Amino acid sequence: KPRSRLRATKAAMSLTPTAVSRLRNLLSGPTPQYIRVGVKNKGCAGMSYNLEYVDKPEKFDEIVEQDGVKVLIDSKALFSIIGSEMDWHEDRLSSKFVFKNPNIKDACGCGESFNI
Amino acid sequence: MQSKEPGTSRAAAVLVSAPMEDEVEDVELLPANEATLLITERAAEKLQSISTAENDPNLALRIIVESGGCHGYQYKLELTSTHEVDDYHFVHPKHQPAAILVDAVSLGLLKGSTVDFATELIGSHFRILDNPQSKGSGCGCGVSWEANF
Repeated sequence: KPRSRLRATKAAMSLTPTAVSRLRNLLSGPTPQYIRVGVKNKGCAGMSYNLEYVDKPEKFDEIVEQDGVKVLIDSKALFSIIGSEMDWHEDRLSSKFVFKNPNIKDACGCGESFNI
Repeated sequence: MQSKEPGTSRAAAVLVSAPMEDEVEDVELLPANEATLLITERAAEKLQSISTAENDPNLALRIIVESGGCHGYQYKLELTSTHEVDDYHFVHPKHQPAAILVDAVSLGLLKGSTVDFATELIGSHFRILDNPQSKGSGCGCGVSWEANF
């Protein structure tokens, strides 16, 4: 009898439609790649988000799939990111991914750095 | 900064116009040799492409230094098409139109800095680098900083 596996019923992170289309653009290169979301210890409020390209998921990385786009969450960052919404903002001067994170206790004025 | 990254070479911006002594009040103007800014190639190219996309040859990046933020001073960047009397008007020596406007008060706190356009996976934005008037690392986001006087 196969062992039942525990599966999350809700994604660890949600993506807005603009984030999905931006990620699709970023991932549409010729070589298959993943984008991994992590956090770094920097910024005045303690932590800031970090995005990087990786070839394959690490063993414990969480895979979020929405509308055909896959994003990885660094296992070490899962605790601080879980439940967040990833969004893509574009205006005349800048464009960036922003995260709406329900775990945040304290954030820097620029919105880039946060604390849990 | 890694010089191998494309577009990061810095050029001294050319000062096109400076405010006249009799046009502004209450502000001490900088001597001409101190009114300097550097622009990276990619910052100039980005300004050029915004200007082309919006079909506005007068479009300029305005940099304002104001008090606020977690380290005393912060930069405010905006796009504008209107020039004020107390503006210093800089352009990139090669890529045009790529104009930068800084008012007389802000330039005193900004002179000698580099204007760059950073492109990262997480997003892209204009930023100010290597401000000789700042000390320490400032805020992690690079917007807020502390003056060294």
